[in-house]
Amino acid sequence: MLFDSFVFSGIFLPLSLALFWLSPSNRLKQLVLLFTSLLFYGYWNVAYVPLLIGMVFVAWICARQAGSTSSTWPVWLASTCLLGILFVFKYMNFFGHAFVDMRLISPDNEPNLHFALPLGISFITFQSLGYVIDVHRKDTSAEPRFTVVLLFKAFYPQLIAGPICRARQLMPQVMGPFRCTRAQFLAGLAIFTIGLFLKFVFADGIASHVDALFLRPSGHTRLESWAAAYGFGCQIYADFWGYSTMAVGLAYMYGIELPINFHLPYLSDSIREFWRRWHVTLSQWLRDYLYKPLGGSRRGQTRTVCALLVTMLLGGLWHGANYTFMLWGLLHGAALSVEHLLREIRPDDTTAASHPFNGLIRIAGWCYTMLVVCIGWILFRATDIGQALSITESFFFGKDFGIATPAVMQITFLTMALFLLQIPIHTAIRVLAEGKMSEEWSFACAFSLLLGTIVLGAPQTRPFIYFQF
Amino acid sequence: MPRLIVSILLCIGLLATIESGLRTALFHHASYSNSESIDAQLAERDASPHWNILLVGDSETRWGIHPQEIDEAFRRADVEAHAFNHAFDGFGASWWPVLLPPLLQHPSLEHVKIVALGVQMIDAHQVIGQRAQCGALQEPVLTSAFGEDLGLRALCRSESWDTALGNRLFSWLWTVRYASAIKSLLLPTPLLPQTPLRFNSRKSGEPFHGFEPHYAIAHDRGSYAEEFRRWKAQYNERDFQPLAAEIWMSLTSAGGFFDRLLNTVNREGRELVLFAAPTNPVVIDTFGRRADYETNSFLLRQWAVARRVPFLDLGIQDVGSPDSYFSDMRHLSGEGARLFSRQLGKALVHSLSSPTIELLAEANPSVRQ
Repeated sequence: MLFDSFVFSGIFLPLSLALFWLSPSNRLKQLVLLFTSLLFYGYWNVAYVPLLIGMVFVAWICARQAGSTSSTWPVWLASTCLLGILFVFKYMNFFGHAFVDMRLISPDNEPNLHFALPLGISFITFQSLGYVIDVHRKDTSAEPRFTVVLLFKAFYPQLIAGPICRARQLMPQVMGPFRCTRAQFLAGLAIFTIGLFLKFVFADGIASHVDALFLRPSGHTRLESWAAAYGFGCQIYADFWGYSTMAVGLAYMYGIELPINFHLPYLSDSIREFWRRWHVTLSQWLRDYLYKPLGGSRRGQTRTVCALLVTMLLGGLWHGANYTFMLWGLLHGAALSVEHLLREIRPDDTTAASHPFNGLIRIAGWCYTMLVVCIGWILFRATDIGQALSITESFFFGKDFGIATPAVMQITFLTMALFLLQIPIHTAIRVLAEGKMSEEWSFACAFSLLLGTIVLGAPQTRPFIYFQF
Repeated sequence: MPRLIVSILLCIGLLATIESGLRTALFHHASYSNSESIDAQLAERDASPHWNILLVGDSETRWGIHPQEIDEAFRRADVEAHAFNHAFDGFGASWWPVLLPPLLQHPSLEHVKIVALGVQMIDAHQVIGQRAQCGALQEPVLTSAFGEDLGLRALCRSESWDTALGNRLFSWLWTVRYASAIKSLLLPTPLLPQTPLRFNSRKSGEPFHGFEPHYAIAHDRGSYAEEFRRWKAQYNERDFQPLAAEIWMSLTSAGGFFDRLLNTVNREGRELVLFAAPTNPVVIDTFGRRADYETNSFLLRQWAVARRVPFLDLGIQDVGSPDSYFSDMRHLSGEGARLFSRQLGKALVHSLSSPTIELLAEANPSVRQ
């Protein structure tokens, strides 16, 4: 079930909210929320509901053991089981193919598993594993009730594509008591419609044009390569920001607060800052559970660079089993490493607000960041390395500049519109999330955005990009 | 709470105002069919609801059949007819079994008794299912407000059951039903996902009852040569081959395309007439389908005789002065349309049985026999 489908917003959401808030006791509310969350997941493919429950069960058992021992074996056990499941479903075919390419195994022995990738399996794995590690680190206590842990993971607004919530953040909230004022409910509704607006108007509006450019294996003009890169940058931003915003809004309607996942990433003046603003909960997860255990920034330059490269490489691989994602991760890892080394040799005062060239430095930093990010998006979106290289080549060296076709104009218009509107949209989300907007304005905001979405939205919706991860 | 109620009422008031404004003026400013040409055609159709003969088909019919000549042919036989050319560019015979049922429900077509379809004799036709192969000429029209009102949007856009349910539940709101038309008002044309159709064909005069006259080749021979070259270049070598023999055998077999077409028209309480769409022999010969034409005409005649359906084939138009008779490599010019329609009108009058003529008279109380 997709947040932007009528079956969700017209049928499932009103019914599940009514059932939830009409339930007389806290325990019943929990059970309703759990049932509706499993229904939400099972609507896509009921066969994978046991897999979800099984993965959470493994995390629950391991977390209970981790809570009662200082040994790391429960963490290793959880990692083996959960990452093993992720590997089988997501990476087995890819690595099998890679091993055949490297002639490590014969083509006859290449694994060829044919089943649909369980929806949101990467998110489920990360959040479940994070819970076990948090318990081991004593950041949170092991929850004795399985249903609470299951609800922590299965809570449907964040189940499939995040935000990746920490146990200490979400678990106390799903235990109740559930409280939600009318103002908070309406604020949630308004936040949800902002997400719908981002998805329907920008992400879906630009998707068909971007898809058309990426469907061509080569032969792009320079203008088309730019449009492909910046267009996909706009699409994935609106798509994932829209999804995360919808998730925050939905959770609000249940009286639950989820972290805001995007903080104007395209205004960053370095890749380091970009990752502090883009998919914040994933960045934090990678930092806390991968980068720091790999040595972080406290064990010398070489170790730091290696940790950055490995973290981003695995972050890329987490997105998908393809060389393009690995290269995307490595590109970001390399940029982060260079920035880290430059920070070591650059005097601190160049970044100070009082520095005479501060404005120029920030603009140059922003241009560099946008360039790296958009080259990265080409890798992220391309079907294979060959296409990525072809588009990147014409991005820089294309002899044919090309003409502004209607598709290129639409991409440019929507990209610029999103770039200009991102600040007011982000401000509106923050104001609503902080409860600073009165209920009548929240309602008016939700109503007008819904009208705007109906009129300006794309004629056909696309699945959320991050659902495939 | 009172302030929230005021806010809700204000929003409802705003929606009511928008709805009222849309119902009053939306299609004065936005295209109804995503095609200027079809908008004008529909406006003309709705201006006088006395049509009793409907001419349908693709651009060969739209450019090639002059309703005035049809009316005149009937008048000479002492029958008052009001023919309307409802053909659309790009909508060949395949589309009409799905277009006709909703189209014939329109109040301005309630007196229509005869539906005359121009059939392209050298093409294959097919039954259009739930999902169609919508091309550049069909998609803008079928996904427009016009397509929405005909209930045919799903032919070009896949809709899940819940989207269809949502659309049905809220279709009473013009804001929802005609969202794409409203969008076309708010955004400049280059930024619209569906660019309105604009044909740069060389129209030689004002439309008449749906018919559009066009200049002859002789008017600008240089452009014709260039256009012919570009037209030919869009095809592959394999397109210039005779049709497979079994295609028209299947179309004219029991339960085939033409049977389905006949059933559709009869279900709507109308009589079907088929005629061979007038096409420049240049196209027929370029495709190498002169023999196909004869074979297909024979097959369709056999089918028509068996079903008692009039089929009018005036043959391949090997006229003496093609440069004035045709507008391009496919269509008739305004002058050619006059000549062809005169012949077709006569043939139509002679082909109709007395009961059908009586039906025409019943269709319009003012008709004298």
